[in-house]
Amino acid sequence: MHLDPTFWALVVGIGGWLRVAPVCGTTAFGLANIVALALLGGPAVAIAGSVVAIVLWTILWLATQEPAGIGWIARRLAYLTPVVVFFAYKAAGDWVGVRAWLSTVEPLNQVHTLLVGLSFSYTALRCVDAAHGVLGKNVPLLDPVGLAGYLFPFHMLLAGPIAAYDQHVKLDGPIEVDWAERLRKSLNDISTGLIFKHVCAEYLRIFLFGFDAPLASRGLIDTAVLFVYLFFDFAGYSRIALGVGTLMGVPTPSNFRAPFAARNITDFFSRWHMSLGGWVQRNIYVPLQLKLVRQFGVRRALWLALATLIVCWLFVGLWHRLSFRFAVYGVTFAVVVWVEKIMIDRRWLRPARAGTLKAWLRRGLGMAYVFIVVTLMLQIVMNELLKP
Amino acid sequence: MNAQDTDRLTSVFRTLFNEPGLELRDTLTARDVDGWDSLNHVNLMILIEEEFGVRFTTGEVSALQDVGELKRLLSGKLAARRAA
Repeated sequence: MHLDPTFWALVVGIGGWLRVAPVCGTTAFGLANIVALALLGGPAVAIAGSVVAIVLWTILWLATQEPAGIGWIARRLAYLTPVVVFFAYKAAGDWVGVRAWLSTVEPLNQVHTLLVGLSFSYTALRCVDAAHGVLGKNVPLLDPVGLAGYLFPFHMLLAGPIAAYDQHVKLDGPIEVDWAERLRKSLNDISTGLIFKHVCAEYLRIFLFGFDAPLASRGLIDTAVLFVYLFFDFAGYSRIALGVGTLMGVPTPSNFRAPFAARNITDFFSRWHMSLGGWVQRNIYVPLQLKLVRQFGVRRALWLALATLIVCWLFVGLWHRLSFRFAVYGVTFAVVVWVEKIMIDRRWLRPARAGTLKAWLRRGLGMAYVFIVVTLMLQIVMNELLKP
Repeated sequence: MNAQDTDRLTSVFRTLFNEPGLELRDTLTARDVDGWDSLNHVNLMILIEEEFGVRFTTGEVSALQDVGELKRLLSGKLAARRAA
C-alpha cells in the first residue's frame, strides 16, 4: 500500500480537504475515508464499511435515546455484537473446519472476505471503544459518516494502530496551526517508518529466508531474528500511519517506544503495540479490576489482579489467533507480569544508583532477560503467527 | 477543593504508596510516584471512593492524567453530593 501512488495522493488530498471542508472534522474525514477505501480496497469494501458503521451507529443511537426497554437491549448489543462477530470472524479465519464449511456457504464467505478487507480484528476493537466512549464516558456520538472514519481509517487499516474514540472526536476541535512542526514531525515519522519496513525488515527477511521463501521458524535463532523482523515490519507500518495521521491532522496513536530497551516484561508491553495495550487497559483491565476490587476489597487486590490479568492476556492471545497455543501464550504472559509486579512491589531487586556500573549492568541484564523471555514465548506461537 | 479535603486525599496517597513525605502537586502523575501502576491506580480510586463516599465510573478512572484532574473530578463529585 505504501508503494502505491494513489495512497500518497489520497493523503495529500485528504489533508487539504480537511482544511477547507464545510463540515466538521470527523464528518469530513469520514467522507474522504469512504472514497479512500473505495479507491484502495474496492467499492465493495467501502460499502461494507459503511454498513458496519450504520449498524453500530443505530445501536448506539438507540442506546443513548432510550433509558429502558429497547435502549437497555441496545446497550448490551453495543458491546456484545462486535465481540460475537469478532470471534465468529476469527473462527472463520483460524479454524480449518469452519473455514472449509464457510467456503461452501457463499454469502457468508463473501461477508468474511469483506471483513478481512476491513481488517475486522482492529475494527471490532474500535467498535467496543466507541461503545465504551459513548455509553461509559459520555463522549458525543459521531454521525454515521464520522463513525465510519473512526472505525476504518484507511491509513491505519492493515495493522492498526487503534486510536481511542475520545481522541478521534478531538478532530472536531480547533486545528493545530504549527504547520512547520507538523510537517517536520510527519516527514520524520514517514521516512523512519519506510526505512524500518522496506529496508530493515526486508533485509532481515531476505537474509534469513531468501527472496521468495515463506517465513517460518526452524528453531530459537530463527525466532529471535523473526522477533526483530516483526518489530521493524510492524513498528515501520505503525510509524508510517502515525506520520500520515500527523500530516492529515487525524489523531493517530504511537504504537512502539523502543521496546528492546525495556527492563522487564511489564515495561516491554508498555512499549510494544501500545495502542492494543491501551485498549485492553481501558476496556477490560480497569472495568474488571474495579468491579472485582469493589466486590472483594483492596486487601485482595493483588490476587484479583492475577485473575484480571489472565482475562486480559487470554484475550490478547486469542485476539492474535483463536488457538490453544495462543491461549497458553497469553496466560503465561499474565503470570509473568503478575510475578514481576510482586517482585517490583516488594523491592526484591533494589534499584541501583543511576550512572553506576551496577545500574548499567542491571539495565543490560534486564534487556537480555526481556529479549530471551519474549523469544521463548514467541517460539510457542511463531509458526502459527506467520501463517497467512 | 478545600484544605481539609486535600489533606484527606494526601493521606490516602501516602498510605497506599507508603511515602510519608509525598506532596500532592497538581502536575503529579503516575510516572512520578514509585508503585503507581495500573493495579495501584484502581486501588487508589477505590480507597478515595471509600474515604470520600463518592463513586467513579470506569471511564473516569481510565481517563485521569494527573492529580490536578483527580482533584477537579473529586471536587465536582463532592459539590454535587453536598448540593443534593
